[in-house]
Amino acid sequence: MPVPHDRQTVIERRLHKDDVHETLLAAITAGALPAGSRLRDADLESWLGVSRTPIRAALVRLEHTGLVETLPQRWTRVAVARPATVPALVVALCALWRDLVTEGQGALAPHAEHDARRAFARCATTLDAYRADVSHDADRCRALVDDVFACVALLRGGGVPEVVRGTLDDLESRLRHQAALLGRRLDAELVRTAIGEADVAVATADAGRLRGALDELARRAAQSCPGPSPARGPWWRP
Amino acid sequence: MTRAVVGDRGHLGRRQLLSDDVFRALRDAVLDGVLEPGERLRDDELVRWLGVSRTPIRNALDRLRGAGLVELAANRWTRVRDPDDSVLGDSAAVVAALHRAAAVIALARLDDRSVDEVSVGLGAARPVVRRGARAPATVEVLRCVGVAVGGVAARAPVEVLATSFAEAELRLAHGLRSRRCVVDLGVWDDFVASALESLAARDGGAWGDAVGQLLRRVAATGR
Repeated sequence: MPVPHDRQTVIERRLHKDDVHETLLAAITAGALPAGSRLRDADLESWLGVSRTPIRAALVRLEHTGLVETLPQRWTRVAVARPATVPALVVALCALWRDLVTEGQGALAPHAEHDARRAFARCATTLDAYRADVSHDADRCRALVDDVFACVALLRGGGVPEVVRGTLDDLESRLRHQAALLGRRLDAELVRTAIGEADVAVATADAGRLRGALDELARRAAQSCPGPSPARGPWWRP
Repeated sequence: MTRAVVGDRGHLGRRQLLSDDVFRALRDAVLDGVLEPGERLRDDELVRWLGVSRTPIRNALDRLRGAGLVELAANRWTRVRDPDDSVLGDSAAVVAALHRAAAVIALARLDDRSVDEVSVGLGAARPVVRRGARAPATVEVLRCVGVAVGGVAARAPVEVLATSFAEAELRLAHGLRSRRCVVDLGVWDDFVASALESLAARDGGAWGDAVGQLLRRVAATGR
């Protein structure tokens, strides 16, 4: 039987470590595994029903992305709150998101406007609830972050190239985890302005304006970053 | 890293170091072209070649897969990736976006001395670019260009982006090498002109645009 040259995509074989990674990632970003939770191999083995090897591989990858922290031979835990990392993550993601803004695509596609604007409206409502209710910081903050990322998913649309998706997913999960832990420290005004601008841009199908909204968000977030640091060594080759 | 350090670490530390060594060895072999795009990587051959066990090799391959230098089909094969035009273009776009972010964060607040150092770095790369400008860029040319372009990012407080930077730049370097891209002197000079303008204006967005333009033009020379 003649076999097509590229068989790769016919049946996607899944690796255990990828499944484990996905499950742990979802549990962390949903808050089911709270910040600081210890992750013990034995617990994970019985929870996920797979061996230690894929679990270690998934944990290494999560550590790489900053969602898990380890002290070798002591502990592995879900990354604790590091609010100082949030602004730089926001700026980096704005730079990546702005490249995805294309006339007539993602949230700017004619059929997507309705869903996108509804997501923005829901965000605004959650934002009001967050501001009104100071007694449930953690839950309100996480709900707001969830709604913001629902908007982000609509802005991204479906056609993100694989290479971009890798970096984007890593940084988005990290921001999502850290932003949800901000509680009262979350800059609600910054979110409100960005959502408002994005809503106008989508309503008028204006790609330039959407990019402008992301640039402005980046500019304002950059002001909360620490000052420049002494020069570090060069990049990928020590 | 000296071998003496190894002795001070516990078992896990040593194992980590071993994975790092294997990662570096494989990374350099891919970038230098010792392992060619499309080439199959078999565990037993790597075990023999590098003289270490399967575990550090699998760990290193996982990291290379994360950076996009190798690809694998579960339980069938692992091979050096052969990036096509769109992978190369997307890799360039991601790197440019990260440099834009670093510049947006740092440039407005960078002191005059640091800005001068970045300008000097741009100037220092020119002879290396000029010598290599007629042939596909060597690892040395890419490294030199990378250091010069990275002048702003190296001074930005973006430790949180370090992994993304390292992966994205490694993927781009692999793409540029395997598609035999050339850093043309005119393209480089155009970049330096707009980069210096953005430095003078302390405009991070403009720096990002300049890097994006440079990387797009270099990527476009691919075979």
